[in-house]
Amino acid sequence: MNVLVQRLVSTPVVLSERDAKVPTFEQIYAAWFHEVARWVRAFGGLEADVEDLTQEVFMVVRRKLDTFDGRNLPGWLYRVAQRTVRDYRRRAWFRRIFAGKPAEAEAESPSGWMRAADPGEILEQREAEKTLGQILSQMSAVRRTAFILFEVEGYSGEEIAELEGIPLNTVWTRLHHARKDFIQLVQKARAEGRIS
Amino acid sequence: MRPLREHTDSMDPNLLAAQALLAKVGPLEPSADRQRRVRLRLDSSSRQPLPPLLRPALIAAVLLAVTGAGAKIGGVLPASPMKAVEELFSKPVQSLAEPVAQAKASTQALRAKAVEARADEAPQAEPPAAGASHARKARPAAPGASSESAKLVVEAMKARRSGDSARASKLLKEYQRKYPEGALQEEALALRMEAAAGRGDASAAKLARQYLSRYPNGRFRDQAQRVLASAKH
Repeated sequence: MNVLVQRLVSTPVVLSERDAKVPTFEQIYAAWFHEVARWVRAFGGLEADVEDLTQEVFMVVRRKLDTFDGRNLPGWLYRVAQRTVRDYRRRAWFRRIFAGKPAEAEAESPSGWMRAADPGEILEQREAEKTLGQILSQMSAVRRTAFILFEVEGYSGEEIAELEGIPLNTVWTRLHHARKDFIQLVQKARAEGRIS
Repeated sequence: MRPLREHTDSMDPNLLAAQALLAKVGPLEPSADRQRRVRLRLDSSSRQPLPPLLRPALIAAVLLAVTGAGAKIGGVLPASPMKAVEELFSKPVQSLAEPVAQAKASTQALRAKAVEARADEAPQAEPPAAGASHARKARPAAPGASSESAKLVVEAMKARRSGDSARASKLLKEYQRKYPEGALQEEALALRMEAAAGRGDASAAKLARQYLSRYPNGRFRDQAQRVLASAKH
């Protein structure tokens, strides 16, 4: 028998404190999939493909689970999702610039996060999402994330503060400015006839 | 702080428009289907991050594009360098050795072709700008294609709302034919099926069968099954 295999077989399995604290990938996937999808939607600005991005996040989670120290799982997942979406958006920008892919084609990709309903309603909803997505894409990433989490996903200020690891007052400040930006952008869209 | 949609005491038209827009978009609903789909894709995907050894291929491709040499070696670069790079990204990686070898070979081929192209074309070489514009022309991007497709669907929606389901069906059929890879293919088929069923058209059952065979787990599966069931009676 190979020496390395012999050593592996004869080594007693002792779970470290970290291993005892860290859930398995299966457990994380089952318990956190939906939350991660919601965050991804907030980071991606509604237009992004939630399924593709959530898949990317869990690929990173699977790869980096060994390096996770077992403390604050939601915070860790949130940061992984944040970085993954940010990188995705950069790559998308790069593709648009260098491969000439129209931005609209990406915005049009199916996000797959709507409830099954009347197909007509879904199309109308998609139109609204597209308009909203275009407005939100003009906001800064930090404000947009806070805005979507609070206004669309229904997170409380306290929950956002915990996820972001920032003081509650900072969340309120971000939301205050985000709301101001949003209403100004809506005003502009109305003036241009994009919305009624 | 209350969410915007709860501010009911203001008559500011911009605030009202903002509220109306937000009201159309709800929170992400939990979906077991989505969770299962992503899981299946995760299990079947063995894609790895770009190994450091692949980076020279990427840099070489970008440099060739920038200097215009890429345009002269059309046999190596299919349409745009990024396309070739994207192909590298998109191929499932079974083992590290294979893509690394592929990338090295591709980098060497690119370098060899670039040297060859420069040597052959040096006397009458066009300025880089001309090469770059040629590369731009070769790109498959069709500006406005997605807005055209959206227009068709929006027109179909308008026809549907005004009760002209025949026109709606015609437009949706056109959308399906013109944009087989369109993002709204599933919805277009479901809408056509719905419109045909509304008219009592016999083609509704055919469209329902088509829907179920294309999207066995689709969002309008129930509607398709209902159309099929009513067609049998």
